[in-house]
Amino acid sequence: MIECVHIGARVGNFEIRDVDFVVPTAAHCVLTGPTASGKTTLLEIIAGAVAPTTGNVRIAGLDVTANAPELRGVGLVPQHGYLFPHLSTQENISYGTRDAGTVSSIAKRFGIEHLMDRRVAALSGGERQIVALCRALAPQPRALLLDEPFSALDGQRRSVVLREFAELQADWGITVLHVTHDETDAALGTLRLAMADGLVSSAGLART
Amino acid sequence: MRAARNNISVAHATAWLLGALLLLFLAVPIILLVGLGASGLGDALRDPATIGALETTFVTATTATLIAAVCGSPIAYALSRSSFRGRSLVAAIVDLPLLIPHPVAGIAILLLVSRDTTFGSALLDMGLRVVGTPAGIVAAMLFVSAPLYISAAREAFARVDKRFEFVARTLGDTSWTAFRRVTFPLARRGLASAAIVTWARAVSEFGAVVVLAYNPKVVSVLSYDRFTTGGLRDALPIAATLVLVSIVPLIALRALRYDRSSEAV
Repeated sequence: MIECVHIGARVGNFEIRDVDFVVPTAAHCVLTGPTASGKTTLLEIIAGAVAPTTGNVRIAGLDVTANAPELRGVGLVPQHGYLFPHLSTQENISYGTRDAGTVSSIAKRFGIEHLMDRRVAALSGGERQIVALCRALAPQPRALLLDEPFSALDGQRRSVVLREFAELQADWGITVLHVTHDETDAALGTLRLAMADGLVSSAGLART
Repeated sequence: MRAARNNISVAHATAWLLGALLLLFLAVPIILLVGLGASGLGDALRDPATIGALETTFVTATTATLIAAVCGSPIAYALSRSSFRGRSLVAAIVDLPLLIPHPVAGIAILLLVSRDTTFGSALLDMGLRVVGTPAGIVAAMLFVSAPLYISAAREAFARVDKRFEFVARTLGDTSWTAFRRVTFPLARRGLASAAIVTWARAVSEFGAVVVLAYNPKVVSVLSYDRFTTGGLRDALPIAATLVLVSIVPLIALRALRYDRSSEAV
């Protein structure tokens, strides 16, 4: 479960105000909204990069507001991936886990086992996004924050990745908060939130 | 229209001419020095005084660089990443030695470490004599070159997007392990460049060194010593040696930059 309880924060001149919502355990919540509405900042607050000025963040029922990012049990796929450029694909995916079996099964599941020895600089934009997703999934986080994770994927590969991700999320019971502008991606969600000017402006079931 | 184009051509030609004059001013004295000093280079490199000065220079400059890297990297990292109380003061202290004439820097260090001071006498009690020893040379080199290391290392750390570190922490790293596994490897070329610049600055230091330790002689002091005792003819081979030693870090820096550009994606 991901809970934001009356979260407020200020980053430069931008302000997030009284953000209050719950994403139930194993749910996939889509967060939409215009550019610069505060979506990425909200993910950074939940993951621990930005400290809120008011309110609390709870993960799986525990208040993690004062916890360091590594103690929150929250995975993150940032916009643009942020793969570690000095490491290979294999080293990136296994960065947060020592379980080689999980690493290879995730890589196989998302169809990138042939890329494992490559430097990430040699990967295409779409391949990088898949590697970033695999890297975040490998430690099997309780909650996962996705920031436009599939924007560089196209056609057949995109539908395979979306399907595999949905299956894995259901199998592992991961709670997902997913920022996207894409309606195809948004269809993955069972809940939908919308954000504008630092406020969560609507919440409700996306589909039943 | 034509007059305007002519004006631009004249401006370009003037700019090129002025730039070329400055380049000549920078290059010609060095070329002359190496060219004229080269004939005596063989004898100079067989001279025990030169060999001793080269050894002293290499050891003290390397020691000063290592100290600057070990002690300066945390300062550089903090300045590049954190906004803490007193940050401006720390930045000003780091920049201060760059603004002081180097003999004055030597005098300032002398005030701290001479036997007449509490600190200096405490060091002597511990068996560490600074004035007139390699330790004094290291202190002088460190004082004038550490700010360069911190400044360059700060830029190297700043070039590494802090989101890499943050992603590493969401994958279970503490702040230290994220630094060790991600930030340091990504900044290492910049840090190596910083160390090379620091080493080169330390090797070429004269003003602060000569105040703290005329002996044992480093190459810069030896060339000055030969100039004052034997004139230009005696000083030239040593000076040429110093120039050639200084070219090594320049080549290393170029190699690092070439390597980085060939790796860029």
